[in-house]
Amino acid sequence: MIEVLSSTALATVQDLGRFGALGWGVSHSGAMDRLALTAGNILLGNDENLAAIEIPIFPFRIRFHHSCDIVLTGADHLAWLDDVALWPWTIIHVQAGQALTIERGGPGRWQASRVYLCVAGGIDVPLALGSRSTQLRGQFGGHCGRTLQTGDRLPVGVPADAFRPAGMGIVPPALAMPLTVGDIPAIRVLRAAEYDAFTDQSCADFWAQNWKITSQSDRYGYRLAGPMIEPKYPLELRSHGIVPGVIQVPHGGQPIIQMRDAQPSGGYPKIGTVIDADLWRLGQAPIGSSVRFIEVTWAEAVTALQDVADWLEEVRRMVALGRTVQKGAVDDQ
Amino acid sequence: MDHDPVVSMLGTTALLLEAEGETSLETQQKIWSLSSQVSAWPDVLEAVPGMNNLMLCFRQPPFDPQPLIARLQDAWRAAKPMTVEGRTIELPVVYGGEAGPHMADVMAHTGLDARAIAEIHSAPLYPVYALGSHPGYCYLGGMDHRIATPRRKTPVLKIPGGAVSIGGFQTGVSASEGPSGWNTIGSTSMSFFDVTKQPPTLLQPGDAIRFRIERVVA
Amino acid sequence: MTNDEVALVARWLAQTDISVLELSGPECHWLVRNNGGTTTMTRTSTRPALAVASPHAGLFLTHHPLRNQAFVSPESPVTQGQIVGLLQVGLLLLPVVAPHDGVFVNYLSADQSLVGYATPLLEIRPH
Repeated sequence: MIEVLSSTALATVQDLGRFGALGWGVSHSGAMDRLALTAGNILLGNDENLAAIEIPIFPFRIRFHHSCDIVLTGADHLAWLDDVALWPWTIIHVQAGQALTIERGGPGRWQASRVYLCVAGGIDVPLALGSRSTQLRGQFGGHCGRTLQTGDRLPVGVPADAFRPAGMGIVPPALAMPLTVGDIPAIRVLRAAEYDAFTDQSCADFWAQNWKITSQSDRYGYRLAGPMIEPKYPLELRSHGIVPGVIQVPHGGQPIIQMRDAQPSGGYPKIGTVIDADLWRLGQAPIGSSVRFIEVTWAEAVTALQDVADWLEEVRRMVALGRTVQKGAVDDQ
Repeated sequence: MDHDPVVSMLGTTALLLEAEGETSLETQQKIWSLSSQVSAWPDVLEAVPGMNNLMLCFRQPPFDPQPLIARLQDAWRAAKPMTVEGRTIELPVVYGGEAGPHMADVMAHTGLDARAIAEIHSAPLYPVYALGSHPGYCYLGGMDHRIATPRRKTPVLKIPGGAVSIGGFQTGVSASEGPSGWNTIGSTSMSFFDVTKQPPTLLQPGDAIRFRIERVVA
Repeated sequence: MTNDEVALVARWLAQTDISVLELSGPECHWLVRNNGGTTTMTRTSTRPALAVASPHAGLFLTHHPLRNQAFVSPESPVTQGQIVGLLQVGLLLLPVVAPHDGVFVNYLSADQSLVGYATPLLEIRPH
């Protein structure tokens, strides 16, 4: 069991998401950076869909009431176990009673926002409609259907029978698969149904300009600031299903990218969709930072998804190899 | 049913089939039919009806989506309207005032007063075309076009559960507090979603809602 | 010479007007200062620094890939089991840990250098 000692705001329990419930109006939810959650679970020998704590704002403090193994994946911020500094993306042994503190870190080599606290055995909140992810709008799933508060006690599942050598880690995907235009982090986008309904100038600006992620951005959606995106004529669509990544342009002319908690339907015209393979990058883009959009074809978008699958397969393979190597090192001593 | 529906891609996650023509219950009944049919296709994770349209989420996006799209168009042409014996619930609504903060915008857009808007809005029996937006929310068909009002320029960050609102040619009731781009004209109270129930939603496509004027606040 | 023995010497020193006493043993050097009856003892290890050898082949990293600063800097204390470097094999990062308590002396292999089994990576002077 772990106890939240202090939580500023917006930390939630998330697994990979809730699927098959869109027809009830229930969005996917799930980790904003799916690669961080999946890789953390692989390192710990967990089922890859076990739940972790997604932490977007710091400081965050938690106490472990039993000994366990953890990994901090996602963004690299400063973390301590009691007063011992911790390394990101690395297996850590925790003794019962120890406290974990995560504080906002200085600029490292990757500007990112969300830390995932993955625990061997996973955060064992009850399944709701097949998932442990927090459904904030519906107030169910996760821990009591809400963000974590000071004093919350979260159950931890039984860890898998796997060797978890302290100090073993992996190179984060942001370093393994970087994507930028100049210095600006880039996100790949497919055109959406109403792309041609926007003016030529708006379409040109969409690809050529920087887009700032405004402070009105969260797990529901990222509201962007940049040049005005204007339709050639007013568009009023019938409500239809939408998915995370869809870039809607409301009448105000500033795009909104649907994120994991976004409603599963909408009617604003869509200029593009962030490809599934890059949603983790966007999920880590900090408020106030800028991104650029790169246009891709369908084939490129599907290939990019395969690249992500290949990276995860390599993580599984290398972590298994690492266990063998480290096991040998322990047996030698 | 003269034209083939328009199919577009929603990233690599899903595709969207949109029927042509005026929004109608008959088209929606074909959407329900197509939805239940394609839900069984092995490459479909889930099929989600919208307003005279259908979203298909992929298990794995196909390298070439054309065969799937062709199969979908064929299924659409062959689909027969599916009638559902639904149930009707009645919802008392307070129109205008604090309960309907955007009533003034709808009045300005339509040139009608609050009483007339409430009467036009509460006249039809609204079939539930689809669920979406948020847990338990129903998209309703059959709103009178005289009170149609465009979605707001910028979505409102928080509207309460029970808010009765208009977005374009559509109307609906919020099932819980949250953001919305629609114009709120009134409010009602009803529990539309209970995660512990199976199914968790109060209403299903094919059910119907009747709004009853409880009060109009000028 | 043990800590207890030096402490005994320090207590004796406190009652004298001798201000500094230096003691040398086989593995360390003691400096005992007497400031008007208040004594301080400083131990400096004179044991030779021990090289930490690479447990296997890989790309040696003196800092975490996400960080700009090295795991340890010269003359900083290290404790047994502390991560003092990494060996990268593909995307896998395997730890190089301090085999004993001591003071970090220096890296013997360069950051980002390819090292083989038993390559000396760094030096730690034991306490």
